[in-house]
Amino acid sequence: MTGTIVRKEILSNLLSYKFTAVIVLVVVLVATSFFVMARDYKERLADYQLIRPEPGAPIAVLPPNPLSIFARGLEEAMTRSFEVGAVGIDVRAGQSSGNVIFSFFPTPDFVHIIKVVLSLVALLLGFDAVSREKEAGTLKLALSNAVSRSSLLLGKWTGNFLSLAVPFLLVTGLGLSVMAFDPALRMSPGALGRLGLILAAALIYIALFLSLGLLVSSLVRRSATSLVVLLLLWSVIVFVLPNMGSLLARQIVDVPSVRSLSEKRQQIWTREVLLSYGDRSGWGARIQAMNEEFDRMEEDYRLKFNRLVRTSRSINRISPAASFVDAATEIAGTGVSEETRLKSEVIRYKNQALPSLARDRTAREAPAFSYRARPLGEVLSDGGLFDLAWLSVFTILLFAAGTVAFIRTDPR
Amino acid sequence: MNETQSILKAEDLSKRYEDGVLAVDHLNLNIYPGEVYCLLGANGAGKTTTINLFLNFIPPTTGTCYIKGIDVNRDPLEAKKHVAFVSENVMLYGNFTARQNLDFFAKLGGKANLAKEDYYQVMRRVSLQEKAFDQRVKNFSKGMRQKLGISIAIIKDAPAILLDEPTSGLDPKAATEFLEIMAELKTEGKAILMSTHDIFRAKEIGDRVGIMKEGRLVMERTRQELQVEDLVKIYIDYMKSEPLI
Amino acid sequence: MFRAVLAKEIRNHLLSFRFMAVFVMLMVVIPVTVLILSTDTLRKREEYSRRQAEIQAYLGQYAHFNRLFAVISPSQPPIAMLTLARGLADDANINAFNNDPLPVMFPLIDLVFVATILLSLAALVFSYDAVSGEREDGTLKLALANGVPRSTVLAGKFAGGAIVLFVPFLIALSLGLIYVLLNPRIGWSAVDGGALGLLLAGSAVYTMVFYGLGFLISARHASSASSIMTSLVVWVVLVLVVPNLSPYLAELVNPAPSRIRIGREVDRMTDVERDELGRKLSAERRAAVIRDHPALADVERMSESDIKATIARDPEFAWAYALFRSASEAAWKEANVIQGQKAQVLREELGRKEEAQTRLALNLSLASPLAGFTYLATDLTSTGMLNQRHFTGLARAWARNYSEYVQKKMAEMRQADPTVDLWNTAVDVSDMPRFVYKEAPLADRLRAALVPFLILSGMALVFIALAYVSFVRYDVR
Repeated sequence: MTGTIVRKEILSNLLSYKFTAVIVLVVVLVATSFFVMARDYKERLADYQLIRPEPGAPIAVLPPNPLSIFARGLEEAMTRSFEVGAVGIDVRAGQSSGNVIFSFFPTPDFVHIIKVVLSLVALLLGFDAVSREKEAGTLKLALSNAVSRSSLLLGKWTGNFLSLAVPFLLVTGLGLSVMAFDPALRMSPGALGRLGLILAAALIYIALFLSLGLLVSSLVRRSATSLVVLLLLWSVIVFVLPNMGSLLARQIVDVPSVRSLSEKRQQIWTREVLLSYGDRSGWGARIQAMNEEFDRMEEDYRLKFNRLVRTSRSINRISPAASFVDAATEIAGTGVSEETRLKSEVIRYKNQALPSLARDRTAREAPAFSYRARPLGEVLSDGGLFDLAWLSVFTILLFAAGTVAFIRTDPR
Repeated sequence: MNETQSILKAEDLSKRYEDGVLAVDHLNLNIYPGEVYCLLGANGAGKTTTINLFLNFIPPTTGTCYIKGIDVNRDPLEAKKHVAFVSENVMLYGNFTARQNLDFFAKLGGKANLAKEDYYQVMRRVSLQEKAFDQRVKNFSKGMRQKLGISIAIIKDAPAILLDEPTSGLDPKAATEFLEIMAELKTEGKAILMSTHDIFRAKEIGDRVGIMKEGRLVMERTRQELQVEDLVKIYIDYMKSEPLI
Repeated sequence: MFRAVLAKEIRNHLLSFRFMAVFVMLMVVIPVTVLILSTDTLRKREEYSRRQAEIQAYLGQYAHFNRLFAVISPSQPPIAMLTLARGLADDANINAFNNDPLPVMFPLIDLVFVATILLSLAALVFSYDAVSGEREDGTLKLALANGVPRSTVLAGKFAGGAIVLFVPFLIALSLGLIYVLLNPRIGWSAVDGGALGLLLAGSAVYTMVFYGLGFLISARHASSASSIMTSLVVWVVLVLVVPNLSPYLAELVNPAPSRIRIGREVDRMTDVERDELGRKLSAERRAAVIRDHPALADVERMSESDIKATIARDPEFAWAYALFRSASEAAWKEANVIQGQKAQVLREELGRKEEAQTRLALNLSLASPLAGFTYLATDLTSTGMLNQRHFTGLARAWARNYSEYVQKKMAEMRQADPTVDLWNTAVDVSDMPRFVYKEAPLADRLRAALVPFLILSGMALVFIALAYVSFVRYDVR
């Protein structure tokens, strides 16, 4: 019986204007995003070939991460070039910094499209699934048969889920296979596995919004009401909560600004230059001492900052959209934890390269910097799994609530 | 008549809504195979509520509905296997063709493996125009949608049929065609409960006619009795009379 | 007649569920946003003054010209407007090692965001069924069965809906504003009030754009179910896609070399290549001097102490040696200039390309009302591109003053003690020119916001005109 309902839902979707409109939107957006971001990645790859440090140069630069095509996350910060100098790390920013328009609007990557557009599309499929049938009288007709309400709802859910998930996976697969023709974009099996996991997270995320749509649709009498409620909920979940969350966390955890840190650093450096004047012999030792002071300062900062990140993430988790973005970027290796880890590796590298630089500022005998992203297992145990489980639990709760609401709904 | 044979049965059925309105007041009803029972009454008299109670869309406050002897409230799914329903002004799935609508509801009604021709046959039987069979329901007139609604009921082939004001808004020709189909179904031995405003057609088709007022069945006449009595007069008299205590 | 339609439209909206929902949401989101942003601004203020105080204390102890500039480099103080709009506030600090990843992951919320996303969405929710929904209910037929021209119906519906949509926004905003005004530490000024007024005018026009768009789409569809779908798809494209894609498209059309690459090249030119050129040039010049002055024949092979001894002994050598030295210095100077010019050409080229790309991205993004409004709002509130330019200008003017001051100060120091190390000696800089930030005058901001404002108005007019045409031809059955 559920199969019949699933087939009917899919057919009904295929024949509707609504479905055509939203699927065209999803397909076009995913394809455009792939094209634009893949091109951007290739450009950054070419840049990397140019700025790749020569052997012995005390510079730490990561090659662009192929998964940043899909989840840009903090890629820009992670592929900066960190040049170790006598008095610390000199940072050079990358590609996009020249064009200020980049900083006005969020990056249109795959994760962004899923977070914003696919969630909306899932709601649009779900918002009238029950209420429209009440209005049309077909719900009464269907329920005058020996169909249990739970199997009717399950059929509706599955039908709508498949109607969205299948075209989505198809266009993603198509985009990936087109990319596979370009040797520069070919991905390792490991990266593909991570991408698969991101897709799985995306499917859970879609399921969540579909369940939310069915829940509200069962609770209200009119589709128009359901739509208004869902659109407002959507804008709160996707935009308001995550964006307000990190601002709120900042009011709770007091972290000095980055600016104050760099000012402090300049002050210390300038002071040491003055004090060491006339006493060149002790310069090496002074650099060492200065670096230790910087490191202490930074460690203190990072400790506070990590607390801020944790608080912010805990607050943001109220919103499934934030959970999804966190999970997807961490899996892709462009997330907040990965970036933090990279920075501590760069500091370790600096301490390694520093002794020879303190002896001779032009020394070119630094070891090469190497960084390996955390293995997937570690990413998952480090919060990724929690986010995925949280999304799943959210989905199941919403679906359960939807079932209860649908069973109680008045079909008249 | 033997009571055990009744297909649709209401026993001491009452429904009081949350707002305190007593929509159905201790109703007793038995409808037998090959019988058409017409429920007459003003708007709000409780006709539609009665049908909704039979379909378990709302739980009764007291009493029980039985379909083919099965307690609707206790085993709704089993009971609903034996009943078909035609509602007032059903919109159906606008984007589906007539046949697709029919197919979906036939499957819900437990008729899985029907051929295209079976659907066409049913639609011909309700005299829906051939060319409409594979057209989208969105553009159907009310009469056409109602015919399709009946074909959904016919294709389920259940022993009981519930009709909620099926002729309201239909033109005289469509209404007459509709009654012809009812007569046919009756000869097939279906038990039919139909709520309606249409006194003339009720008299014409009904084997028994009941008048509801404020939730109560205030009058019941058989076809034989109506040969000698004037239903219109009775109806109007009942409507005029003072509220019952 | 118009009044009747207007009154009905307003009443109808006020009684509707969507009005309640939007109202409640704005009443929660806007005051909470303003509250949090106000706290944040105050916190930033405090931090800013603490930093300034630290710099002051520092200058009293360790000021010396070698690295002073790095210590006092200008920074922008938090302005009162940050309680409402954040704009391009560089929270991410991508140029510092300890950058902040959070704003990159989740852009922080402000009033501009509320207006761009929530108001536009609400405008579509209010207007998508203005025509198609009334057709379905049959009320459109009833209304038009009277002697009312369609233009009157349209005008009444439009005005009614727009008023009902904008008033909750104003109410919610004034609630937040009361908090800002009552808090003297925020220092809200009359100019800020003026800027906010202009911003509100901009957001009214922005709302009208989407209201007109929703109306247009509604008048092109027979059923409200399909008009909402079209509306939302168009909304997603205009609000969430066009602005985000435009810089990438601009990059595709007008590529610019990466800054890292140019930086490296400039480094090479002014370092390795300059040394090579300098060595070559100075060798040539020195050889020429040696040719002209036989006394210098052996100078390249002499040790420093020998040279000193010879200078003391032989005045002719001393004179020739001075020429020799200055020829070498001139050669190095020339090498510096040549390579510096080359690097300058490269930098300018990069600047030109970046500017072309930015301009293209800007123009592309203006196809989206959201982008237009964002530019308008950030420029009006001194948090956008105009302010970046303004700040850079102020910082540059201050840097000129500062270097004049350094020259003057150094001259004084030299007078007092000719042998002093001008760069690495502690100095008293209490009379140094201080960097003072002042927001760009309101007139400038208004001028910058004018183009997006006109574009938005044009869009609103076009949509309304098209909606009118579609509505006149609308099949009311």
